Amino acid sequence: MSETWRQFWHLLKRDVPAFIALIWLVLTVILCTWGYFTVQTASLRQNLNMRLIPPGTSHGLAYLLGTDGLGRSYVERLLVAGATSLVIAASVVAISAVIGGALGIISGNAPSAVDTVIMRVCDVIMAFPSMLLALIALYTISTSPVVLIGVLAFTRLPIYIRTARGEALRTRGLLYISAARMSGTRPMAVTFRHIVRAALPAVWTLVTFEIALTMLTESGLSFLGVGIQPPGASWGLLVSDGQTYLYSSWWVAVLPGIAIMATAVALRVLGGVVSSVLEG
Amino acid sequence: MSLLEVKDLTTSIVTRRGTVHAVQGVSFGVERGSSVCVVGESGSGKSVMARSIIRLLPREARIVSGSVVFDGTDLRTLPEKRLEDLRGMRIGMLFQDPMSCLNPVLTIGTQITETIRRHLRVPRAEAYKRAVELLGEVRIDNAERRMADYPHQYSGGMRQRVMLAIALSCDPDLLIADEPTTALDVTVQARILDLLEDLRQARGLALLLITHDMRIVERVADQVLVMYAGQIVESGKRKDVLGSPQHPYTEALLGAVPDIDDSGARTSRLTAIPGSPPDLTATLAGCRFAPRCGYARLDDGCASAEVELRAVGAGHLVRSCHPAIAREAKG
Amino acid sequence: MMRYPRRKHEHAAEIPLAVTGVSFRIAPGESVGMVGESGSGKTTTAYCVARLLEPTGGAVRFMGTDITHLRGNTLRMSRRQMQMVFQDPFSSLNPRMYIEQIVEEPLRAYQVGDRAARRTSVRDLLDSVGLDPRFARRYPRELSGGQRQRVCIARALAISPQLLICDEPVSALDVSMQAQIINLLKDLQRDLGLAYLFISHDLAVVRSICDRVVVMHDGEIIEQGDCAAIYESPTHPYTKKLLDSARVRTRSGADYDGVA
Repeated sequence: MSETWRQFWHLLKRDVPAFIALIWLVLTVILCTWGYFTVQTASLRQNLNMRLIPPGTSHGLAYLLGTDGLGRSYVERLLVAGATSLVIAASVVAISAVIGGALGIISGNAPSAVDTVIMRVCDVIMAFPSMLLALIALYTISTSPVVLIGVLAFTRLPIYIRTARGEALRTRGLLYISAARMSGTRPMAVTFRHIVRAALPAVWTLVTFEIALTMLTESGLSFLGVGIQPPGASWGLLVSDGQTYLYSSWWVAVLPGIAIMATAVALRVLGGVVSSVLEG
Repeated sequence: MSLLEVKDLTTSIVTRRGTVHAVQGVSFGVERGSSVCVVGESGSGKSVMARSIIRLLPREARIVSGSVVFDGTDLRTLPEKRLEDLRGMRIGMLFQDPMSCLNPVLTIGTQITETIRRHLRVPRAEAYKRAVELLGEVRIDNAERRMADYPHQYSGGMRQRVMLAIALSCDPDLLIADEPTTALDVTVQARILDLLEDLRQARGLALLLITHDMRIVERVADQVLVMYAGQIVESGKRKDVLGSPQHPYTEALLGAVPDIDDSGARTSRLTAIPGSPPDLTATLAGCRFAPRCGYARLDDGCASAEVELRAVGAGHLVRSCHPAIAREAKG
Repeated sequence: MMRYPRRKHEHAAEIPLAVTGVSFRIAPGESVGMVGESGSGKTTTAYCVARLLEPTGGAVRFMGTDITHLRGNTLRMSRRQMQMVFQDPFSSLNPRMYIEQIVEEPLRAYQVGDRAARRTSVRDLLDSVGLDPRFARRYPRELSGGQRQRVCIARALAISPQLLICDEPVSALDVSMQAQIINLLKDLQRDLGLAYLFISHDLAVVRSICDRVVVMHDGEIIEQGDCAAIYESPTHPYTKKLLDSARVRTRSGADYDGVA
């Protein structure tokens, strides 16, 4: 295990973009967490005299990034919104990766009847546009964050299942699996020690793509009004709120947009390094 | 004039760990119609050398110095386009793994005819006819029918025959074969080598064959070059090098081959060379084989002085501090 | 006494050849070679003996137990004394595991000793196959083909088997590494009293390792018996053909000066 960390740092030291990515992510997570617990109430304080102030140093630290249409400090808004976006994206991805990955491996190793059933269920889920499915679920059940996370995770399951299944199928025929069986390793242990380990890099790469995708999907849903509800905030919601002021006060929409993009890119870049380490 | 003349060829490969001096000052010649075998372990530089001759090296590799002259033409300075024409038309190539050289989504027939048309510019019908003839020459039964098959429908031995057919399709003067039978059964190997030999005689083809197996050398070679750590350590006619090997490494390679007719094989040990080949990223001095040589002594100067190739017989050269004749003379 | 009488195996999907009516025995400490061309059924037979495949007919008896149709834990326990060295040293080792973890795997599976004891065993095993203990913390990709094959042998020896099935263990190796592994296998047999089922297409290698040999062709046994006897005076024409093509013939016998 420690060997993996050592390799990770070693690669990281030589890869400048990845290093920057790591710093950005660490900073984002720390600041957003801090922000969520400290300035949350402050971020909701409206000040109609201070509406739509552009970013700058003229009004002090709290207004470094300007204000939105209701005069709320954008620094504070962004931090709180960031916490929500990150938590939602992370939860969605964690749930769908774990469940989808497990189902995929089961599917790849199970008798063909089970495999077929799982595959056909995947087909059904994939047949629906995920946005539509999410909209229906959120409209009919409720728009709570839990439902949001649940439905987003559900729509992303198939891709994890298929990826994990592909890896399981590929690995099944390799000689070291036969060798493990000859060594007396029990089937469950073979699955975890060898097959899961082999599938990990592929699933991880998927995860790095999916976090960004989830943030974007969530922002779309928030824009449509079924995602995060005010007074809650997410970067996506801030972007959609900022639409109205796009030509006059660009920062309202652009700043959260940059935040989403930067985080997504950072995750991809860092993900690449982690992939290399996992590949061995 | 030799068909192929290689002088002082030196090739280096840039890797993350450093620059690998894969080929260091290799010189030899291939006469028309003769067969030259280059033998050595993996890492000896033999494959890199073969690829340097036809400039089929990866991007990280560079021919640092030396000359390669094929039938009077300097291959090092030839423009890429003309070199491509040369490869195929006058120099054929046969590699170790036929599956990676054949396109899995095209039929065998297509691949052969395309090669013929690329170089000879004949109409498709004629190229097709030639392709069928070639398949027959490489002893593939039902040649006409098999033109429509895909590579995965052929066995390993048959795929190698197809590669041979492609290599010979434009009637080259020289065939460079890099471990062509290593991935095959010993029995299939024998048949491919016999085929190679017959075709060679029939067409007056020169052969440069790279291998790690002395048994193949025995079967096929007129001339033998033994390579170690990027250098030629022994060269000469087959009967000289195999009959009275001079270099300790050559002796060891010969001793490592199991003999099918040895009645004492069950209880005797094969010659196993201890250790492993040197790291070619380091700048080495003196005899490269010294750390693994059974005859090297600390005070011999093996490890310090550069050892040159010296003649020990007519056309028999060896690069060693302890050639067999010297050892025999000591008694 | 280990016996393998009468196996029939249809393996329609991958190899369109049946293995039919294959019967042979291996005595304790004896080394039996299995030769034939690709597709002759040698590997299928070996996998049936190892019970990585289940034979369709016949029986495989190992150390007195009929293991032909066993499954699950009973199979695991009854073939504990049988291990296998596979053909390809590259894909028979998990590229993401350390050498130490790879060699330790059989010990973990059969719960031999605790962590510390296992670690020591691994080091001893690596030593017995001629690998320096510092290889324990390396990945397979850092090792050469010959070294990887040694790791496979070390793993196979971990739980002290009685029978080692070797499926073309040296075919993928350079001639000099091949010699090292052949010597190693001979030494191990002498020191540990192992029995071998040695599959190979290279008849010369088989001669240097095996006492008896089984010749296979098209899924059937053509001939079997004492190695030296068969090599020197083969009775079946196919065996003769195999031996002939394996013997070195030079083109113009005139200037042939044999290998010393």
